[in-house]
Amino acid sequence: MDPQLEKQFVTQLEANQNIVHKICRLYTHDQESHNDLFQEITIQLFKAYPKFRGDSKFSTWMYRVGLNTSITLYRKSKRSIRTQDYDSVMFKIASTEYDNTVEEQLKLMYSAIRQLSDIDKALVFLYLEDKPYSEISETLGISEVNARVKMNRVKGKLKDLLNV
Amino acid sequence: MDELEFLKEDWKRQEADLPKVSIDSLYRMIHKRSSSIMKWILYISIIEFLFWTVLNAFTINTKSLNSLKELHLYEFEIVATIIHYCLLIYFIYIFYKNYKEVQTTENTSVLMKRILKVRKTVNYYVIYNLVMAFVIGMIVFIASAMYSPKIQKLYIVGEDGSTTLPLSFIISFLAMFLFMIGIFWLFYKLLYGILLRRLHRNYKELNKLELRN
Repeated sequence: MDPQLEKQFVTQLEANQNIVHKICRLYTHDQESHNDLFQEITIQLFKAYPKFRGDSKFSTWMYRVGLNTSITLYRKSKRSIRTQDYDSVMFKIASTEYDNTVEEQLKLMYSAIRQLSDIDKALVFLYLEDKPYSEISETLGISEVNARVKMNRVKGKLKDLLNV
Repeated sequence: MDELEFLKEDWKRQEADLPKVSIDSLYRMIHKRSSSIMKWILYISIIEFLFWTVLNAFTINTKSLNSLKELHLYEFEIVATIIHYCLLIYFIYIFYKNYKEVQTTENTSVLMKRILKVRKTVNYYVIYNLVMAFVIGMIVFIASAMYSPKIQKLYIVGEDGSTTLPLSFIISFLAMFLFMIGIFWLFYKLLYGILLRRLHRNYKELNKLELRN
């Protein structure tokens, strides 16, 4: 790739790397696989970059490649055992304003999301990122109605997981 | 669901805690090799194409050609080989075409469909080889039974003067043959079972709803 384009890509990626980190948090269970997936997504983004025409936002395009890599292309290593350490580092409850019950509830929510299937995780992720159903349906390649139906089911699943 | 809305708020707040990868590290990363499932599928597929092609090429040598002449199968072998190589080129062309169509920028459903399509081409190639191995094996067996002097010795002469091959010989030949093909098939299932299990599962899950409507 031409160095100018490469520089442009890395600059854009650096500015938007939060998206990739957030995806990695949902799809991996320890620091090592987080880094692994981050690298794989970066490689896939770089490979796809020459075809990125800018008709969508760079970040929207990143969502798509990032989720595709996590759901479809990434080979989870057998060794990846979920560690308490990683959970507390990666899912640090953001605000200190919360009281203990709220914090506890948030922790439970995050761990419930972790237990969802790859597809459900993608739905929750896009939902948390405040994406409209039209974009969720386009990213995953399902109809908007089905995206809604599926999201409602995920909400039900999460409720169940939280109540156990 | 209120909880999820609540989580959304927290999700936004935690951006500040995310790790930061430096520009230098990103530069290094983009030049590393991918270890994606697509890479594995590609490598294994190439190995498969090579394996079956080399196997085919090796079985054709002067000695085997002479014994084929003895079995009256020489012309058959020439025609079969030409057809085989034409099909091989066709399989490789389809494989390459499907592979090129795999783009991470497609939507997830299409991407998964395309990856499975790439695999299917090679699946068909392997199935074709196994079927051909069986068919050709049968033809060679029948021709040997008819023309090979070694096998002629094994014939039993019946009371009415008819000659037959001992049943035990036919059964053990068939059993050995099917066993070999079975081993190949099993190995194959195992290899791709492990590699594509997750992809299949996700594909089914994503498209379950679509089929219902």
